[in-house]
Amino acid sequence: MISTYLIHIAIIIVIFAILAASLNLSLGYTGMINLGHIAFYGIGAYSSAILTIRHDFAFIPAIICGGLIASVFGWFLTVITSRLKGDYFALGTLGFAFVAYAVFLNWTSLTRGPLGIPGIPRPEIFGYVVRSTSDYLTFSLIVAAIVITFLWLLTRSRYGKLLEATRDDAVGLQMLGKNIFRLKYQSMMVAAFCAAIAGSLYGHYISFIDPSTFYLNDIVILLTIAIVGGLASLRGSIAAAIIIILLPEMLRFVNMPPSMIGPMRQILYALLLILILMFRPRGLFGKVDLE
Amino acid sequence: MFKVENVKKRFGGVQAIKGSNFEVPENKITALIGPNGAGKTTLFNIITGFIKPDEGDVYFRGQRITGKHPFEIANMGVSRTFQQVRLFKYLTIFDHLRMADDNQDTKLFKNLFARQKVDKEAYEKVLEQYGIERGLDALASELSYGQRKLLDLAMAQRKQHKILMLDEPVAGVNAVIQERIENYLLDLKQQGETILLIDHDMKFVRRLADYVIALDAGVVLVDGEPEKVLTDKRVLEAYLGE
Repeated sequence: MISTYLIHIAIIIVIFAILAASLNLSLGYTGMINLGHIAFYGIGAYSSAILTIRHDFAFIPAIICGGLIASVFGWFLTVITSRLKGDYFALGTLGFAFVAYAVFLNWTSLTRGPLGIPGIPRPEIFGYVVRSTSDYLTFSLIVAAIVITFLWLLTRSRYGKLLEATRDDAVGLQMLGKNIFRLKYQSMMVAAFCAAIAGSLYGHYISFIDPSTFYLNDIVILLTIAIVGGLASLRGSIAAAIIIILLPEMLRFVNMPPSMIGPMRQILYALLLILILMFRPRGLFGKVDLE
Repeated sequence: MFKVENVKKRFGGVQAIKGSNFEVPENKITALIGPNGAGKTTLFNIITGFIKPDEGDVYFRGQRITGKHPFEIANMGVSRTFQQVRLFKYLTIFDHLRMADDNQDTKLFKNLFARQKVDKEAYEKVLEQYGIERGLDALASELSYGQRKLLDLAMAQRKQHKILMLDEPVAGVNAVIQERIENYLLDLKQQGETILLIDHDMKFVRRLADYVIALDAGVVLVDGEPEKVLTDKRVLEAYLGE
């Protein structure tokens, strides 16, 4: 029983590590204060669920389609926010998360609205169904390894340096002949693709999704992971995903009324963020200051 | 090289450029001078696409470039530095120089698995050539202002270009670095580079420039040989007041 619980926590950690690492690409490396990343996670989860249940897609094409659909929305988000900077950009992307949530909630013919989508099948890969929780952990780890290796290769490449230069001084970069709009939308599209993969992994694991999974609560968790881990650091995202997901789990072993656990969790996140900002403004492994 | 034709620009209630007309000759150093607020940097920004003019056009080698994006103008062969040095503070000197070399780095998938064979010695020589005292691995944020100016100049020069536009290349640097930059620009002049620069130091302009364009309130007061422009009564009045 305990081992099943631990495996469940490990799977959630792996999913959030992918999600946070992908957010770090747009937020930490490219300097786009993207508060709408959770929407891509939701788009991936819904796309993959709908494609497998209603259109009989196999898991791999469904997860890839989910990623591609999220990427298109990533491009769209960059286009509509292209004239916004700093706080305004952040608010624009947050608005995108709210709009996505409203669509998940109200487009009932597609998403079943607040009823959610039940019965999302476990992944079937070349005839093998990833049924047990421990198998799902192994499977998630493999997917995470692929995604994070891809992000690592990207960020250490010359292209990755360009993304960092976009964050540091977009005006100067343009005079080197680099199209910063293209760099920004490509970064957002890749980040959205990876977030959608995390969303698909989540949906096919829990087997049920509803709009509440892709709303404010998860935005807070995700941003806390990104900030605690540190900007422009993939290993920071992984380490912080472990800490931030595990930390509130400890509350389960403290004797307190169940109604207190939710607020206590929020207090813990807030406390951790304040401590990090006060004593370690770059987070655990961050390379750049939070500005 | 450049032809600026009846360019006008207004910011709110201020007419920054009232109608500029001038040409920048090839293979020469041209200096754009004028008192504060004369519209020199605004013209630089219009030429390089950062600001769109309200009226008028800019031509580069006969091609109209008004309305083009800054990166497109840069890729046509316009290299530029800014009054406030614009470097990437969390990147190394090596990253900066490499970024200026070519546009191969803009290809996402091609770079993903590219093995980075780099002749670091060649880059070390660049540091020596420009008098940059820190190593290739130093971050831009660790450099002094003068060293940052030198790196900025090195990048602008390394980037493939047909013209170098320098906005106050020696402003705020000490005498040693000023001399270093001046000598470097004199070398470039001998090699036939086309340079358009803005500066307030008239002695510096006199030593360096082949051609001077004096602006006031966004209008060309007078242009021509340095001696003619720098002793012109209208230029002196614009600088010193009547």
